[in-house]
Amino acid sequence: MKRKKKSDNLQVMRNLASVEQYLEKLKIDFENSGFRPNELVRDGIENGFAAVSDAVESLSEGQPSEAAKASTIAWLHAYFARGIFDAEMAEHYLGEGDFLELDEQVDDWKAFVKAELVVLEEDILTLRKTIKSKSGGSKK
Amino acid sequence: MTNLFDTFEEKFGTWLTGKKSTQLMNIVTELLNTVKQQARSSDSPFRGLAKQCIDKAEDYYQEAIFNLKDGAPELSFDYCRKGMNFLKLATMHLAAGVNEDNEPTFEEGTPEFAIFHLARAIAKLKSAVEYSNCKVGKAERERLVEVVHMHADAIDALRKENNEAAKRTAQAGLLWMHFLGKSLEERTKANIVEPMLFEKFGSARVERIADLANRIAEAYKQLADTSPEAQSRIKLYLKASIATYTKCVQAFQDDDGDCGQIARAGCMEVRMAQRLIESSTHEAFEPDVDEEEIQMNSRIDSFKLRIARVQRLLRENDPESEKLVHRLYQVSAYYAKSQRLLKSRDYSEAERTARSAHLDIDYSRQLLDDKPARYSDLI
Repeated sequence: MKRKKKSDNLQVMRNLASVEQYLEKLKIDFENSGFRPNELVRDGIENGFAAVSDAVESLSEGQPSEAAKASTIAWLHAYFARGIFDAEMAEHYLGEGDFLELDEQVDDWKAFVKAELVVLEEDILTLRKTIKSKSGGSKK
Repeated sequence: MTNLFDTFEEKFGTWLTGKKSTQLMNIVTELLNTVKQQARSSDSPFRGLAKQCIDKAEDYYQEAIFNLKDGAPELSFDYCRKGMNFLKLATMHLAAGVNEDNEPTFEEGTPEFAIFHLARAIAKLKSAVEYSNCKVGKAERERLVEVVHMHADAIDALRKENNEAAKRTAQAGLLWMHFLGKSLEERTKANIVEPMLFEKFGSARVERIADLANRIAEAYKQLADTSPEAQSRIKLYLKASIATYTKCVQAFQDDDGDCGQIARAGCMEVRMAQRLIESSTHEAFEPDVDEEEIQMNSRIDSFKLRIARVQRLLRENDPESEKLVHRLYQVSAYYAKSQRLLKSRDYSEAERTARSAHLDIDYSRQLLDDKPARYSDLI
């Protein structure tokens, strides 16, 4: 039983080493790519490393299944970030620089929300005007 | 080296109870020094990564010393274990070569499998768009941004042990990727989601919804052969089928309502569009088109999508915005209800409900400004 637990822990540790190396390679490619940094890729790398740290914490607390789950999560972040990075590289090499943005591109979230609420209020006002004009002839 | 790690694990409990803290610290220090030495002479490509692990281990070691001095040997033990695990990672990074065999494979039907394929589909679509240099419409891009958020939500649900929600969210995201892939297929010449993938989910509902996406895409292709006059009417049906598709994927994601039935309704709308396409080249076919209903659904969907985007931004940026987020749900519900009442010509109720939406959005704006909110008498 003890031997089994030890081998499970070792397997998780190997997985963690692999995903960290995968993330590290991606991080180096990302930093050396020499064009605009994509936030999704950056977040993916950071989240991946954070999940590895969570996994090490879980292992240290004697929870290998939690650690294995955190390791899987690290892989999922890593694969996503790699996929987006490779797609960006394709556009970069083609030299067009016309990237398909996959994130919100909101610099000031509060200003954006404020503006959106105004637009939504206008939609409601239009609706109220329509109701008023239609009900003008037929009161129900 | 391995022996030192083993000794640590096996003997620590005894040391702890026997208060032999000096032995403990000696062995930890020895391990740290050995790994540091190894890092200095290593030519591993991951030496930098190993050094980061050693730094983390050292931080934990410092915490361990601090807690031991502070009379908290249990805490000290915890920190030592964490430090040791980072040292183990460091030694693996310092070992030559990368073991890529450790890359996981995800079992079919699991949330991880769905999330992995969702990530692949997003990346594949992005690549296809970048390669083909095709234009992506505003609505398509907004939907794509939503799907990227669904990917993050699915991982988050998985992290919180909510496996069912993780799987449903990722599968709903894949249904959207399938739809977007089909919509852009003519322009990108790429197949974004393998048709066989949905079969692997083992869910008839998913397959039915994916089939609706295929039918909509097929009808859009046929539309190109019709006259511009005919197109405007046919597009109304196709717009309605897209609204139904939206409803269907949402119902699937929320595990709410019979999405199979909604998908059937969508298929009927596509069939009507296809009959119109046929009649535009053959005999006259005058279906009973409820244009008002189609326009109304489109307005409601667009309003709800905007509200959802605002809610997401609030959740991401302001952890104390729950009250405002909840208020916006009310706005969305009142707006949709008022539109439906207007269509059924119940004007007084429609106005009452629209006013409620207006009052709530005004209230929401005050909450956003951190002012004490109150309902306005002027609305």
